[in-house]
Order: sequence, then structure tokens, then C-alpha cells
Amino acid sequence: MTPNKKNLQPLVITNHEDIKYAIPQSAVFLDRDGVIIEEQPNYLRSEDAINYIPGSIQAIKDINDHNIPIIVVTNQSAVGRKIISLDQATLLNKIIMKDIENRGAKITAIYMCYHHPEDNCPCRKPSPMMPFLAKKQMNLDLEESYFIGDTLKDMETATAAQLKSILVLTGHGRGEYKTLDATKRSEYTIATDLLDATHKLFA
Amino acid sequence: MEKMQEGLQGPDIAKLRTDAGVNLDSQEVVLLVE
Repeated sequence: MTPNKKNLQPLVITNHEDIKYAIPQSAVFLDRDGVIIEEQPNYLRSEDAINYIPGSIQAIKDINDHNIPIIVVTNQSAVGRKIISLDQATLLNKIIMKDIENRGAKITAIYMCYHHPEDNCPCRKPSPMMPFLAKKQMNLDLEESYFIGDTLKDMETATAAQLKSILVLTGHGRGEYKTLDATKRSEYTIATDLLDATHKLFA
Repeated sequence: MEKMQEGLQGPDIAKLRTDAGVNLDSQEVVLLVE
């Protein structure tokens, strides 16, 4: 599959076809790199480089235990930059989903923007388009949902989509946190990692 | 909730919302992709 200018919509990867809840359902949106798996210095390119951040699978299990769907929302511009193919990026996401499932946890869907930043697609975070699309496709209640991410871009996505948000200090999180002044810091809910974030969700 | 409403009124966030298909008057979302 080759991305082109005419195909500027995100790819949705799911093992659970056509999920549409009967009543609006709250969800937890997660960024992938730096939240679930370790950030790679030059994009995730191979299965061998998938390293789960300690506690992230347990955190996903904890969210699953509350019957709350988990939607991953991820920018993978490595495809648009022609570093990896769309098929490779899709396969890596499927491997992550399967791997997590094999460890007793579940991600409901992955929404992936694979475009180059200069494509001016409508889906690349901080656009709220991917959460909006998930809301429409699955009947989600965004105002009762959370976005957990490691960048200020993720936090902007959350605000624009009217999601509550938590900034984790894994991945880019610690560096991003350091750029915030005291007023801004007080505006965010901060967690050391995804597991700590889930503790805050269910406290 | 107040904080969220304030955030939505910022020009950068408002632009992200309109670019993603939100009508700022009605707050209705019209997605450009399905």
C-alpha cells in the first residue's frame, strides 16, 4: 500500500470489527510511542525494537478490568517520510495488539495517521480528528474519556477533542514537562508513567 | 470543566477544531473523512 495525496485519512486497525456501543461509552485514548512502548530515536522500524515500558501492559489490563475500551491514537510519519512502508507500519501495530493480547490485555483499536507533516492531512495530532472519528465509529462519549500521552501535542489533541488528559513523564514527557512554567504545570495532571496514570484514573 | 471551556476558546485550539470539522457556533462535528 502506498500513501498518496488523495488518501489523507487515518488507518484504523482493529481485531474487533464494527464495534459500535449501544449507548455512548467512555474510553481511554493512549499515545503509543513513549507511553506503551519505548520511544525509538529514529522511528519504530522492526519488531525487534518493540520494548514495552515497565508497567504499561499491567496498566492496560487495569483499564480492561473496568470494561473501558482503549483506543490508541498515534502519528507514524515514518510512512509519509518513506522510512517504512504503510504495510510495515500496519504490521507493527498488529504485532503490538497481538502481543498485548497474548499477555492477557486488550487494545480495542489503533487509529494511525501515517502522513508526512507537510501533507497537511486532517488527522495528524494535535488535530482532534482521530478521536472524533473514533467517537463517530464506536459511539464514544469524549467528555467522559481520557487521553494519556507524553507530549504537549497529545495534550492539545485532548483539549481540542474535549477529552480529559494526563501527561506521563515517560518518552518525551519529562522533557516536555521541563518546558512548562509553573502556571502551565498546574493545568496538567501529571503521572510518572502509564501505570501511575491508571492509578490516578481509578483513585 | 471551566478550564476545558477556556482551553477551547484559545485561538490555536479553535483552529484545530475547525480544521477537524467542528462548527464553532453549533459545536457540531462534520467529519471530512468517514
